[in-house]
Amino acid sequence: MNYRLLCKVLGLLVLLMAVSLLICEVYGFFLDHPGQSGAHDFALARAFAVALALGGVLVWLGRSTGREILRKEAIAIVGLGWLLCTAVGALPYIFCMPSLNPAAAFFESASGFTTTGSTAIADLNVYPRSILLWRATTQWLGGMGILVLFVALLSSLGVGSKALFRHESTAQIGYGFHSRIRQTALGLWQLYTALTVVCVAGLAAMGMSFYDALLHSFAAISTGGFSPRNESLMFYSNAGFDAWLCIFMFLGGANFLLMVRVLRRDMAGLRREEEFRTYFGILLAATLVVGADLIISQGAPVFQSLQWSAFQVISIMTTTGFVSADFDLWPHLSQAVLVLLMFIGGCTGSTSGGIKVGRTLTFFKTAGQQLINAFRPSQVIPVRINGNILEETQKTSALFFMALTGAVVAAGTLLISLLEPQVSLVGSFTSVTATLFNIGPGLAEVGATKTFAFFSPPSHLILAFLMLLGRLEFFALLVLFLPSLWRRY
Amino acid sequence: MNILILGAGEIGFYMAEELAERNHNICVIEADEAVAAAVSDKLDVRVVIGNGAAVSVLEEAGVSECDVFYGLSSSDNTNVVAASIARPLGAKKTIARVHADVQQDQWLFDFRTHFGLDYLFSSERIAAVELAKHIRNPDCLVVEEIARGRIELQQTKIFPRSQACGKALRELGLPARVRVGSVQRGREVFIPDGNEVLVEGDVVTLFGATNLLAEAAPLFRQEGGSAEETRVVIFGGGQYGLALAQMLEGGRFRTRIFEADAKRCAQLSKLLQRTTLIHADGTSLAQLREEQVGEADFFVAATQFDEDNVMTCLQARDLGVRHCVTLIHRADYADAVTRAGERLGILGAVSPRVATSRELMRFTAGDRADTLVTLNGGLDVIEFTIGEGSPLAGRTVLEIQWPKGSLLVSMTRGSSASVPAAGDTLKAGDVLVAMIAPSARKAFHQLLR
Repeated sequence: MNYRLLCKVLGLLVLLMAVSLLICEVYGFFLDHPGQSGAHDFALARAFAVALALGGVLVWLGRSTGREILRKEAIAIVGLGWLLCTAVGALPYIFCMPSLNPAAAFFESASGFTTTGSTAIADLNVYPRSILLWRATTQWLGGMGILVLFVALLSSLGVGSKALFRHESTAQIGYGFHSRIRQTALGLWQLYTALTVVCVAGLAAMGMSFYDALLHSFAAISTGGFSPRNESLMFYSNAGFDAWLCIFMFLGGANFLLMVRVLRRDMAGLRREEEFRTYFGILLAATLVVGADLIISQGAPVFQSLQWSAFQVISIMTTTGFVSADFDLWPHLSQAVLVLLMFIGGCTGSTSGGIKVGRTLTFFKTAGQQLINAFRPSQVIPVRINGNILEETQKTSALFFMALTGAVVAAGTLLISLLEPQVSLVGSFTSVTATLFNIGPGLAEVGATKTFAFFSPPSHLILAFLMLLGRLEFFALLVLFLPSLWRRY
Repeated sequence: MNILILGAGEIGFYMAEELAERNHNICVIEADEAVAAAVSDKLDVRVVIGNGAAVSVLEEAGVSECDVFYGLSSSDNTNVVAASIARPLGAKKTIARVHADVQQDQWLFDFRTHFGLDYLFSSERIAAVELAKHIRNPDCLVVEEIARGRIELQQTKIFPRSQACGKALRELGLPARVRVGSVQRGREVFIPDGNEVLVEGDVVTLFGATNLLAEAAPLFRQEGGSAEETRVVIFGGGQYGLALAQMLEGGRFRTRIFEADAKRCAQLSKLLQRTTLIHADGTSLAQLREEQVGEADFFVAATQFDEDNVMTCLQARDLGVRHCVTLIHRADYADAVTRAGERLGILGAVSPRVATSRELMRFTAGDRADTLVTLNGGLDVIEFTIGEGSPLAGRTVLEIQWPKGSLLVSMTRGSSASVPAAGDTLKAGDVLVAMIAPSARKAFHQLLR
């Protein structure tokens, strides 16, 4: 392990955080007025100073080293970088509200960067608007990926940039148009930014204030789900806002590289794209099932039911976690559908979490193949996704991922039940799925209108760790615990 | 005729042998000295040793006075390059052999024009076409492809229970641009008009595009029944098996391939979408049973090994397969198997090199009108091109006084081909195919002049 290089790259990453803090501070300074609840207290500026110093020291430590990143360093940079960014991102909350437990601040920051959207803050109204701006910004940065941004901005990372990209983003490199990874990363961030601008413009045009529009757009396109309002989207109960955000949550849960293709008029690619079709099909089917359930068992009006069901289904499946109706009060069938959607998640190469539609497809197709082979062992059954035959390793890794997910959910539920005896089983189970799959709200104690504020500090740390595990898809974080990664030889 | 053959492998040697028997002047170019010596010993041909794609070697072989150049070596690159440069060096017709996948790519890219070739073919594909003829039309007696495979000629017998039996031709409801060329009743063969009523035992010759003929097929089917999917088992997923499976994927077939090699299975799974792949040894009776081969309509043995092919056909026949077709690589065996076919229960034996040489022979047959096939009763199917200033050019089919006993069955213009209708106008450059009775032959050739 090349520790100097590690210091240098991590230092640069922290400096990138410092720049983001500075930008938020400048805008936040004009947002907060003295006398208003939550006056401006320069929490962001103080965090910026710490980040600048920390980044400076790290870069200085790694001053005399080249830039070539190998696989080993790359995976360590991804894991450590996320932990470090989360820690730096937690500083503003601590500076602003000293009464907040550091574990809760870390939870909040992790919830931001991993685009989860669960909150450990009981009442958002006591916080200044600049802090809420930072909260939404962390989601926006984490959505497309801090390291993808890093790769896009830095030109001379060499082959290592490929490894950085691969361990953070679920987008498949070969899928892109550019042969250079930096161009791919740049293209992704350009599209991501452009979509955000359109989303803000649309919300503002429909009458939302620019500040609210910006924060909601950040949280929607990144499928994060932080809202500056305690009541989330229920605060407005405006069908126009809901519909517009649905579109951008939907896009956030789709494959960004596919969108780049469509923008280049490669329609043949779209037609072949099985994952996107499945994603759309699942959304449609789930909306109809939940809508029908609401109409039949609660007697809600048809249009209202479909509106609620569509918004919640999209919000949960894309792992955003915006709430426009309290689904804690919904019938069990609808809740079961939502929990199922939590597991599936969005498409590969999107900003969403979960197992991903692609892996789910692979699982079912492989299962079909295995079943046929049970009685007809000599038949060769190719498993095709988008017309391409999957290699054995691809199948194995998808199945392994699903198994690992199951194991982590079980272990997490066990731990939370142990630490929080007062929480119901549904509450502890959904608190684990909601964080591991980067969704946000769960059911029962962590339901749509509730928060994660009541958890004890150890639980906060465990849940924050689960969020990072889910966002980085296990590996980049788990390898940090292996001694062989850290040896020099 | 001066003929240059590049490559004296399985196909090249056979072609040289066949052409030498027909008194042509043949020069064989072969890179391998031992093979060249063997050719020189066995055949009355000139042999040049060297790389066929080199200009000096081609010059030495006499390319400047060459009438037909055949690139038949096993390397498609050498064949195409050699044929492509032989043309400007003086060869009048150039033909190159390629592998089946290159021929498949012709849908995407026009290799023939690009390389200046007259004909590009794959012997695997030709053999597969021969095999497919048996499968696509089990009740047909003869199937031939004309106009580069775009028009098919089928001869089929009228069975007592088939729908066509007892009907006049105009009542049959044949698809447009499908034509009944001739009817054989007893010993007599004639070109019918629309009022002719078909009776049991007639043999009719149909012309039309392959897909249109498939539409017409139910009319002539033996049981008169509807079209169910035909079940086909292919033994061996090599080049021949693959080419056949690809051909069958377009139609109403349920195909299974037995392939013993796991790597080849993986390759096949990428190339075939609708075919079931079985990774098993087709020579094992247990495996054949396991896959219910007995339920299949056709068993096609397409491996490299003649003995395995014939033996598995016998096994499959034993299990209850309705028809067996086999590939036989050694031409001598093919004759024997075909002759013993009825006893062994083998519907047909296809030899790749015989099939290929038959296909290639037409380039050396003659100039103005090439005879493609001669059918029962002496009916010739001939191909001819309308030259500049021909009296036929610019007139519709109806206006021309075709001799009695002749019928126009195909017209190729550019890359499209069809069975001509009465209103079609002929142009210079069109390639026409006609069927002519012996009595009409003289009058027809006068018309061409």
